[in-house]
Amino acid sequence: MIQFLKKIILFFFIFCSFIVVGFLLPDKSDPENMHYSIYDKHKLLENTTTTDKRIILIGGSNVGFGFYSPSITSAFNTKTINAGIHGGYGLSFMLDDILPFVQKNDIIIFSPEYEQFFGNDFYGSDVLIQLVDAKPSVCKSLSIKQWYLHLPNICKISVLKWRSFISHPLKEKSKSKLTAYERKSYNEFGDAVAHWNFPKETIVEKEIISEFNPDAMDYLLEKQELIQQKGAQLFIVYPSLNRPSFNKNSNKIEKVVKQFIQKKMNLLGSPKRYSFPDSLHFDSPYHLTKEGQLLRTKLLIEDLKPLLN
Amino acid sequence: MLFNSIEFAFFLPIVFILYWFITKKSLQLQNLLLLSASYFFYGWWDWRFLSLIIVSSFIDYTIGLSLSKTKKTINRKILLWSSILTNLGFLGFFKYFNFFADSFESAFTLLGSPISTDRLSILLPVGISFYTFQTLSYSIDVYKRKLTPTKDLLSFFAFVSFFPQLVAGPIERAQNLLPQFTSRRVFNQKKAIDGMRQILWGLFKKVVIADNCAESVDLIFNNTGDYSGSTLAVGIVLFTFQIYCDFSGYSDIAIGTARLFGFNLMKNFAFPYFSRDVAEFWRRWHISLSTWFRDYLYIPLGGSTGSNQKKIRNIFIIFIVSGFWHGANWTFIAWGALNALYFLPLLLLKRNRKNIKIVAQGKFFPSIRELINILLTFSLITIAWVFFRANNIQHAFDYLSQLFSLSLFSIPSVRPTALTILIIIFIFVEWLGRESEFAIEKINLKFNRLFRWTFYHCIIICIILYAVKQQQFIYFQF
Repeated sequence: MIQFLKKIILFFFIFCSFIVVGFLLPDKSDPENMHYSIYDKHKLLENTTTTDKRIILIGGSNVGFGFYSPSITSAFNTKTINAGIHGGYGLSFMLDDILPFVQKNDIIIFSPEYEQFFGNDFYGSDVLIQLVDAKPSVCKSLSIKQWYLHLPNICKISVLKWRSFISHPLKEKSKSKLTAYERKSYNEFGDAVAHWNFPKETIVEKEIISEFNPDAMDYLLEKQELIQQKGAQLFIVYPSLNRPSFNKNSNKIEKVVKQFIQKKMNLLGSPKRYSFPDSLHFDSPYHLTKEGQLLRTKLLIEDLKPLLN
Repeated sequence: MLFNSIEFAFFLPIVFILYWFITKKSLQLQNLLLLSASYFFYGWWDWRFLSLIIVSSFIDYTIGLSLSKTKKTINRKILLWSSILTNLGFLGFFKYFNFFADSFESAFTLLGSPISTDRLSILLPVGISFYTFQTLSYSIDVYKRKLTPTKDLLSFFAFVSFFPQLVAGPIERAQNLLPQFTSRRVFNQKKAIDGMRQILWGLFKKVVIADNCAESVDLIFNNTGDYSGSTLAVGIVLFTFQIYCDFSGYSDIAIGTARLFGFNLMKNFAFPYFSRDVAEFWRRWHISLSTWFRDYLYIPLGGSTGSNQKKIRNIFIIFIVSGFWHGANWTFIAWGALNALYFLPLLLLKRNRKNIKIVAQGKFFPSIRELINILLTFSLITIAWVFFRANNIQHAFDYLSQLFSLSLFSIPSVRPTALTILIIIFIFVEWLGRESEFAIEKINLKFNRLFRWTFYHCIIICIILYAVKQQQFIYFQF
């Protein structure tokens, strides 16, 4: 028995060492990849030293690929920053990340993807662990539960880093042409615009499988209170889910909306208003084309006007 | 709790340590630990349904004891039927209520007098079809005096709820598993290492093959109308591997886990896709369920004795009931009926027991004839899976009609290259290990530890690398 345990411990010790070393290997990925845009977005949030009103758009890629901030800036004569990068970072990270930058009078417009309220999505996916390479300080903001939930992702990223290390031990990855998902894909406001010139792709229907997780809503409420304590306001705007996925998940969406209403959140528009046909989507149920981004921005301006003027 | 979850990765070693170190000296304590662990494991999904297992266990335990004290045939029959009706009653209510309500409504509408029946919002308790059949077999065996009922309440409850096989089998017979709860278990290192290897291979099947197939399969089946016949062919072939790897992967993990605790569970899959005819396939696929139906339904009905008419009736009954066991949907019934049609000619021509031994035993390559038979059987089985996977009968027919259209000869638009390579490697490993209990049981044993461990580490790395979002096991819904 002891012999068996010794063998098992040794076996898993070797494996764990492999994972830990892999995780600590230097990042060979392109320093221009999307995750590094977090630095640019933080710079945008830091640079505005004014105490004037700012409009800050936060959320996942439905925000990055969903608005055109120059239009909002000119409509309200207010500096607008699009801080949305990736839904995989999770609702908890999105809110935690923005909090240090929130100033008095800020208008925070949060557009969480519907999945954030189901299962453990609000703790982030493997994408959050990928962000660790771009921004190691992310590690400090992860809770014990997040570390626990991300154990498989940590292993996966470690293996991927080993793979990239073995295949390119010394040389840097060669640069290919610009894609929709790079640091350079965003304009000076933080909106994703590079894909405006790319051909539209097939949109695969999304289905939310997990069960509603009330913890995500509680977390949002908790952070809303902190935002309000800083003298800023938080509004919720619905994500730009494509119509087929919207219809497929209507019961789940209804549940989220009911919770928003019950918790007396500041809501802008309705879920259906921000759900668009596939023709306005670029490559995913949440990513809009140029026309889609402009339309959604127009709708947001209409919904914000009575509240801001 | 899912076998492919982090929770289970913590749960299993904790129970293992407690089992072999803390409770080792007392069989009762070990059984109590297993019972608690099993209830914890099951309650992780929904603790409310634990009450069903407890009630079901208690009824069958009591009926078992009563049967041993009752001599009168009529009283014994009443006791047996009480067990059957209670167990099937639970199953019928939770699994089939809405199906029957729907079917009655449709039937009356067809007859011209539409009625409206109420639907209940019922959650299906995970694994109900499995543990119900397990407890039923106990009552039937005690009734038939094949088994002496146990007086040990703890052992019986632990037998019904034994966590490795509680939610998706193998459906164990009391005759095999119950005595293992009442006798002392001794740690066997070889058995434990074999168990670990079987768990590893089960995880590979589930996480690498089944879950990755699921992504393309869901895409193709959810958008049948958008794809060519060739893409639909890709979809159904991938589903063929998905269902096998998902379910046999679960069985491997279950059997391997049980071995770690000193238990032997029955083999549930014996490389069914290497079968040379449909009869052989059914001897190798979901063995615990097939033999359950054989022993408790087919043989009591007369089996393959009597007139041809009776044989045909029995075959249809067993296959349709088996299909219906999988779920409350006409698609499963159609799947069962289609398999009965495949099976019948073999039975009537007395060729159903032609291929008993594994193909190409002791050889590396099969003969051309064997290869053709394998491919033919595989194709027939694959076509039947369309009914199993489709959302409804209409969907299945639409799928098949589009599959067998001219576009079958076009280039498929879904071409998962990496997955195809993985499936080919998987088939190769299964082929190499087809004469063993599980594919990697004997592979690699003659090499030194460094090589063996590297091989296992490679499998783990593959599992990590190809893991997609955690998917539930298909058979949980049954």
